[in-house]
Amino acid sequence: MFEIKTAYSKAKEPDAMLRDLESQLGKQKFDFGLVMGHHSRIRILPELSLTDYAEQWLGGSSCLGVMTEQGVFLDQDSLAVLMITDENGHYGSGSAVIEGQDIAKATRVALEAALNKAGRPYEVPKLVWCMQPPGTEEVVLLEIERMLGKKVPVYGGSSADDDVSGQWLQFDGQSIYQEAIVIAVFYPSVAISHFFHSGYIPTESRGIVTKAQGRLLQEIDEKPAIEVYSSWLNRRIHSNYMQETTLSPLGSIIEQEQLGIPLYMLSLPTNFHADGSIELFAEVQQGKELCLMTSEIPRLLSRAGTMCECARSSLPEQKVSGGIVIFCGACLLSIKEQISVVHTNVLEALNGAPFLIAFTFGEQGYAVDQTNRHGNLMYATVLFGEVDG
Amino acid sequence: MADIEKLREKVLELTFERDNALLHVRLNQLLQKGLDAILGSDTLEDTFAKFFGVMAECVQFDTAVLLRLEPEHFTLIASQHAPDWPSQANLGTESLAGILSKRNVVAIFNLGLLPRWGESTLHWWPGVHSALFQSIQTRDQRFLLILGSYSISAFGPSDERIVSQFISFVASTIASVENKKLYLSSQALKDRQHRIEQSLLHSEKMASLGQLAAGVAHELNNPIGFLLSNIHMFETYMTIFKNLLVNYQLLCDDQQTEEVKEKAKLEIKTLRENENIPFLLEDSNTLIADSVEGAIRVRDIVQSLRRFSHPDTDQVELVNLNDNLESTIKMVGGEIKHSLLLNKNLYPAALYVTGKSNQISRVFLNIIVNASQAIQHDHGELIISSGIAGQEAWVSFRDNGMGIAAEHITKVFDPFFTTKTVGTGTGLGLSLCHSIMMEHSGRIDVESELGLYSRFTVYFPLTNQLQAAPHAAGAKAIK
Repeated sequence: MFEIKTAYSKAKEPDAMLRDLESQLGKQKFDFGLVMGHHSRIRILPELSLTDYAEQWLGGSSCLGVMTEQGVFLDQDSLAVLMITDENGHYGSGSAVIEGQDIAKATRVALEAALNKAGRPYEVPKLVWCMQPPGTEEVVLLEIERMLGKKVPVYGGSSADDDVSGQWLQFDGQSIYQEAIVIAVFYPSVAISHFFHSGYIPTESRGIVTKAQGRLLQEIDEKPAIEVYSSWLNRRIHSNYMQETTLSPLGSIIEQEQLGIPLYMLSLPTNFHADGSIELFAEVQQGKELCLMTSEIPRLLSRAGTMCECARSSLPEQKVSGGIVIFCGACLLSIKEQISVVHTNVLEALNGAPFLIAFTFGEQGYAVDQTNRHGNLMYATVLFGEVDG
Repeated sequence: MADIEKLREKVLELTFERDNALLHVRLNQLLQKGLDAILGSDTLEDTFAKFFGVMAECVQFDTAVLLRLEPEHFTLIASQHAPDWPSQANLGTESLAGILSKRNVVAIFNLGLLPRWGESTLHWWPGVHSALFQSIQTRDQRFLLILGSYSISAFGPSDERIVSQFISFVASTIASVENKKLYLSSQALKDRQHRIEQSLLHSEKMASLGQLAAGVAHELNNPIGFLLSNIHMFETYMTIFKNLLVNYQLLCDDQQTEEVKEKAKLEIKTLRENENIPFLLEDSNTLIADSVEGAIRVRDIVQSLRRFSHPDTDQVELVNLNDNLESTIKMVGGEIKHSLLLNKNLYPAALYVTGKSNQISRVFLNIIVNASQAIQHDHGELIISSGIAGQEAWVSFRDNGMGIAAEHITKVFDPFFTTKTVGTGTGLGLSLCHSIMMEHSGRIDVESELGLYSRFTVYFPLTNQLQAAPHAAGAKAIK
């Protein structure tokens, strides 16, 4: 039997939080739990004995709050859990603190622990879920790919706070961390379907990255990056960068031979330095073409729903047991007042099935070019079917 | 520009759906080629060997083996680029069951991490890093297909899905082929069984005929005996009648002399004084009537015997069970009428079933003869009843003979099972009854209590031409 349930709490105290969960979940024991919520609530998770509900957990902080099929909880005082029962499935989670900037090692340790806890240390999972602090994503994906290959879909969202002030947290079922990698591996007994994409379209403003270091974009077309970006926007960039640039991110062009249509991985400018360089939330590579991307509010509101419909269409008989949706935190900040539209769209697309939507600062997923990628301003959807495919 | 880009976005969405559809297309192609491989192969091993080539078109792998799994070891059935694999090895399947964990397909990203199996496979497959394990269950055998790759983590969920669905198709196709083969061989066995049954039927018929011969001979001898006696008597009467007639003719002849007529008168007087002519005339009528009755009995017995000895390839026809019973009773009546009282309580209308009349007769005959043989006391009784229950017509035979022991009751329909003394029973009678009933899509049941009674009931599917013309059906006794 496979079943997904969700529960939420807006309580401040651990005891009250547990009572909320118990009233919605009962005393049932689950095989896996995903917990996402505002960092103020994630922070008190170690005081709860969540292992009474499941041995395997993955969690982290979400920008402003969360959404489930039960409602929108974005008042900075909430958290939600998505619990999986699967008699014939295997689930495991592991964590490791990043020590001395060795993200790869932490990823490796966390992944090995997750595989071992699932009792499948040798087997390719059907799905990998990762939770990490912003800035570590590319290395995490690379290390997972090095261990498990390129064919395993890796999804996840980077832990977030409300204002990029570094209050994000990761949780592994027992402890919270600020700089740790938490990884879960899924061997569900039902079919899964996933979709990873953005709600943005490219503009005609394009240039070649002529100087960059990781996430620091220094020059475009041999000119200071800020100068070029401002000319593309036709305005100067001031403070409160993230909200100002949310609707105008940069897209790295990934040529797709199969389709002949380029794919864009989005990077959100977050900091503008005096030397003319721009700090991004995702890496750009020197020599690659960059493109100014754009979107409209209605598009951002409708995108999550259409992606869920898309993913649902490839499940057996289009029947869905439940799903996890990762929604870019920066997008949320831009459409916060109308976010209930997203909730309604997803609810309809999943036909009332349980779901959890978290808002993250960096999204990971299996892109249309069948590569695991990290991007900003992206949507990631993973749905679980009712039967095996 | 914006519209074009929105269209491109839509194309990307459709790409996602197309990728899923493409997976199905690849799978369909694989299934088509797999089917060709199955149909073009003579043996299971050959089939699987061909699959390596077929699968390589959809899943990338460098080497492959197909193993047949047995409790304590495996046997290598087919391989591709795997020269070091042993033809047999003693690797228990328990650890493998743990690996597969109730699933049919498992992608292994690092063979070296596999407990026990991994160490050995690395030894036989130097350089092979990752593998895809697919178990295959046919009707009575279990196989394991392992695809190997020199690349790290070469197989993923999409490969699992393709290989799993392909192998599932292959296994079900092979199962279908095996079922077809089994069906054909079962048909051959059925034909053989039918021929044996025909032969047994003939043997039983001969045995039954032998058993009946004495009774039938007695039954024929009786009427023929009194026919002969009557004819002899009538011949004597005829001599007297002839003498009387000759002398009466002489008396009536005007051309005869008075002397001749006087002599004739005297002869007539003597004959009438010596013979009781009125009695002779009356007795002659009786003799003729008895003789006609005797001849009819002989004819009936002969007709019944002819029906019994009809060839078994008789046409299937509409059979009235009541008529068939009466005819059988007539044939066997002479044999049983001295040992038991026969009571009939038959359904008041015709009981039509579809079948072979002579075979149905044979079922009734066997049961009746068995009943008479089971009665060893002087107050024997056999009650024959018939009727309808649901969509079935039934005929039951209840005797108050010795009954059947509980330990024997489940064996009475087994071939060659008999409790009769050697030489008196073939042990085939009830077995053939059972076969005949099966052939008629019917059944035969028995219930019994040792020392008290036995009741055999046969059930036939009722034919939809039941002619309901009920008439009085009181039990009628014959002795």
